[in-house]
Amino acid sequence: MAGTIVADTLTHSTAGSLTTDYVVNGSAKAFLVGNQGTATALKSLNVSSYVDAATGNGETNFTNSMDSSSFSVPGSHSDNNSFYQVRRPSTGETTSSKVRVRTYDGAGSANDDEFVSHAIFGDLA
Amino acid sequence: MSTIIADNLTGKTAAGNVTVTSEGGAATFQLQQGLAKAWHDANAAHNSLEDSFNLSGLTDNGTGDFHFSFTNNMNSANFATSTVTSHAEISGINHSQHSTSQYNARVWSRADALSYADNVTQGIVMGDLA
Repeated sequence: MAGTIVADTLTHSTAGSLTTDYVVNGSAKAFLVGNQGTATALKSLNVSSYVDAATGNGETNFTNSMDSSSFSVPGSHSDNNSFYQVRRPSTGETTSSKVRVRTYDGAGSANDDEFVSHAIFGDLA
Repeated sequence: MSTIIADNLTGKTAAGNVTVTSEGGAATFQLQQGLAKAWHDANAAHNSLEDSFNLSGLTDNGTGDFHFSFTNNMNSANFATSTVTSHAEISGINHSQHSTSQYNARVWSRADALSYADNVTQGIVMGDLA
């Protein structure tokens, strides 16, 4: 039988202490590295699907939803002639259950990037 | 308030799986998978790591092109890497140059047709350790 520990602080013998809210709040709640052109998820956490919404527009759907559409999405792309953008919740493309990441070429046109990588930080529902 | 004093956290049922209850209480997630496995703050001008976690060093492959070597390796070359830079430059990665023992970060200049540029690079790695 698995055990459960309820605690507010973790203390290491040499590395110091950390209150457990940093563990809960500071952990990534999802991440993905995928090929945007083929909409293929190569590695992920808490991702139910990675969908090609349009050219240069990838939708990452969460298995367990966030508590709101406000969360942080640091990420990167792999093409030098490309820009990475997270869609605002006001567009409806990013909600508590999904995030849209777009990539553009240097001229501002939608462009499929070979690799897109991002992580999600925020509160789960 | 309770405090756990320990050097190691290990799952009881599976050693690599410690679950944490979510903020809202509706879900649990795996502690190990949600933790960053490495991060860097590097200054390309000095070719040095200002600060880092789980990295043994960086290799300057040329202007704006770096490899960061892990102290403890990942279990595959597929892991998520997020990088940023400063000023008006653009930061990215070359995923095809990732391996279990290193990852790549790149910086490009917006001012001169997206050529490589030396500048600050910072990044995090998410995925599974070996």
